[in-house]
Amino acid sequence: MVVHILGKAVRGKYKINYGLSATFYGIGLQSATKICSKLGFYPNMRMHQLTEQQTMAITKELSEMDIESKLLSQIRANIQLKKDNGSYVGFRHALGLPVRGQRTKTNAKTAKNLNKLKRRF
Amino acid sequence: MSEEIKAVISQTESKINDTVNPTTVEESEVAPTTVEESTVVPETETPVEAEAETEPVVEESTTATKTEEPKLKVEWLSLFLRQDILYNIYYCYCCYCCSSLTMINVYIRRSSNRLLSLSSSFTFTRSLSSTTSNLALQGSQSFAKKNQSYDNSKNRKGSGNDLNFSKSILTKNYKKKANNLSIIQDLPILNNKNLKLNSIVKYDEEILKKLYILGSFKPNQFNELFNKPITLLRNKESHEIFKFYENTLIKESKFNKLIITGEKGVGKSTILTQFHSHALSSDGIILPITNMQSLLDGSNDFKFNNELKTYDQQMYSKKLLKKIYNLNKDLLIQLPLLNDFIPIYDSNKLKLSSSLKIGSNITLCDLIKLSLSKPINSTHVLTFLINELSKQEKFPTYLSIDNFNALTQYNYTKYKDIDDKFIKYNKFTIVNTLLDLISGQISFNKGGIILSTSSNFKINDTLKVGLNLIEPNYYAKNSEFDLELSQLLLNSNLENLKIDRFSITEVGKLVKFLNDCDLIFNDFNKIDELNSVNGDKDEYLKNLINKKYLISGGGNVKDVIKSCVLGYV
Amino acid sequence: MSDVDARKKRNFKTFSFKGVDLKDLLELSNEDFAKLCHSRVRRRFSKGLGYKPMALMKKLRAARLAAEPNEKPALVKTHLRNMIVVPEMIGSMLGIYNGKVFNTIEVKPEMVGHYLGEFSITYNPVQHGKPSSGSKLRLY
Repeated sequence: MVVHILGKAVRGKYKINYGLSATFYGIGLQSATKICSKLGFYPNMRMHQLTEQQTMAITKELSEMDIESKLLSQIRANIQLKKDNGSYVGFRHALGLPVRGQRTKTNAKTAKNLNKLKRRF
Repeated sequence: MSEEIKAVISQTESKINDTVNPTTVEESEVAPTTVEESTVVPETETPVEAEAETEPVVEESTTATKTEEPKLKVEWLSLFLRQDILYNIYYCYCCYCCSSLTMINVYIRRSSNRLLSLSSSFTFTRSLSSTTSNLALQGSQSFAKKNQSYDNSKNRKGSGNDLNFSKSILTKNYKKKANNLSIIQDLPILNNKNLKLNSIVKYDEEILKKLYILGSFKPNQFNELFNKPITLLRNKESHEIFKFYENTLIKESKFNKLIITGEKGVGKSTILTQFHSHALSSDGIILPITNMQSLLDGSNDFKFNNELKTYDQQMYSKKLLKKIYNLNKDLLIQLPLLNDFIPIYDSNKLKLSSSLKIGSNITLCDLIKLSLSKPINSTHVLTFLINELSKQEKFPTYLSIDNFNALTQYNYTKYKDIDDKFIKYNKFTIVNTLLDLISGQISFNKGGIILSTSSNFKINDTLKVGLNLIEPNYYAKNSEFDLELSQLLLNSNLENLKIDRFSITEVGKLVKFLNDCDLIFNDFNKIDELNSVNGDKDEYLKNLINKKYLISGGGNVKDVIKSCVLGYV
Repeated sequence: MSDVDARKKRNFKTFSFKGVDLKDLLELSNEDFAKLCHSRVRRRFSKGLGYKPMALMKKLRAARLAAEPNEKPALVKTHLRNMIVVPEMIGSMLGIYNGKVFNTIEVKPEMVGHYLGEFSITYNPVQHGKPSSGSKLRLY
């Protein structure tokens, strides 16, 4: 069974806080747990147990938060700003290299993966 | 392990070749066409028919497949062993070699439908040395057959074969395969008139059914070794629990409070079950809470009750009411309602539609039925029911809580309030009612309160202070010590029944019984040891008992049984 | 939706440094400005900047005074890569030495609180497979 929240499918067998944090970019376990306790769900409640109203309540909570594309565009705007300034941080972002003085002779995999693809556009 | 298996495979293969070759040569000369037929036998065809057609020809086909896929075979076998040795090892570890031979037999059955008739026509299965392993063989064979006709489209849950042994105990009825019914039938029945202390007893049939409803038998207690649960009446502990039980028949419950403590695997829950058996045999009403932690660890729902300013737990109380109903319905139906009951509904539409009034033959049974059938606040029903029971004088009433120390461990529960802070135990309606009973604010006219600790949860300072074992440390952490709860426990004067380890005579009783039931699997040097005492079985048993007493760390029951039953100890 | 977008854009364009608007920022003294910044900058200001930056500031002021209205002030060259950008510098043209040449930048409000060295790169980024030719810093 699958529950749809904000157009995204969440597996019914997930606990609610885990399901939310696994599905949405920008929601971790902590903020998901906060949503659950605010709406009065018990800790072991599963996704498939949600009623229509409760799903709507979650949707409302989520729509007030900066998540998914909204959050991504914020992050990209921040990086773009640094690039436009001509600052060293922006320069390193553009190259896809670590920003805070880490070594690049070896390792630096996280930066090479993330700074290039995920955060660039 | 794998090398051993390979060795066994090679043995059997050579055997197969030895036995099969002469016949196959003859047969293939006589009827070469039938070989083709048998290899193309469709899967749907029943094995009996295939058997009837051509016995030896199929054997030849096995040799063919053997040469084709020898690697696959070892994989199959290891896969198979993982599932089924676990399943069998319990019963037939000592005759490991033989059983693995038979397993190969079964494996060949499973490996292909074509080869089905093979193993039945084969006669290379050795006779097994012990009866239990024979049964295990049967079990594994029926298991294999079942898998064959397994239709994926009908059951999407899976076969459940992926469970490990300790989990499959819950679902698979292993106790049916045990082979000691005749021994258990000869045992005396546990009754509260004539306590046969220091002897192994069985439970009364009627009471046993109720004990199963109660959830007295837990998966790690090795009950699956016997056809029916048995118990040892211990000299000190069983006697004390019986004395406590006799008091409950006379005095109010606020004077009868007992907590069972003791180390892991020493038989706390078993003593509790003995008490349940006593209580049920003399028309006692039991409020059974088998797992205290399920009230606190966030596995049930909770909802704020604006009137009481506490949280209600509807799901749990409904489950509990159902249990109480199933356990005590023949007694509850005799108890009339003493107060008017006005239910609390979740929605306003249903309000005032049905309230129960005194008289007109309404019993407590109807009260529970109402709560189970209609969407009313079942926590309210539960607290109401407890109040009702405290007023009646007809039957002794008992509150029994297992795993009580979960409360002292989770003094802040796993539930969180709107501000994302953990909620304390005293904010829950059911827990408060239970604590009222324990502290004596609510008291049954006859009956008692019996608590039991569990080694799965911490025994922290709260409980120790509550039982007046140590002085409180006021600077301890919140998780270590809760002053409020410890004061409550201290004021409620719980009697502490500390369960000790088995004495050597009790271990002797148990080991002798296991030996009678043929359940000591891992005594590999049995023949040598018998020879060393010139075949004197009593002397051998005495040595064995001494050994088991030593291994179990001086009489820990669970370790005694483990050291007898498990292969790797 | 368009209304929301418009608001978003406007928000994006208005500049504020740690919650202080540009107008107020320009009026702040150096000490007050330092209080807004992160600890490294605060420490630097508490230790004192020394006389060298004062000379730079004087040159900048002179250049700005000399400039005609609606035109950029003249370029001021400097070796002070470890100088912190203060609100007073906003709008000036700076040539920051990278060890070889002076890279020209115009100080923008967003640069406030950073070091001058951050805006003038000192090395050639490695380009594999191409012969390195001079300073190729046109990556962005």
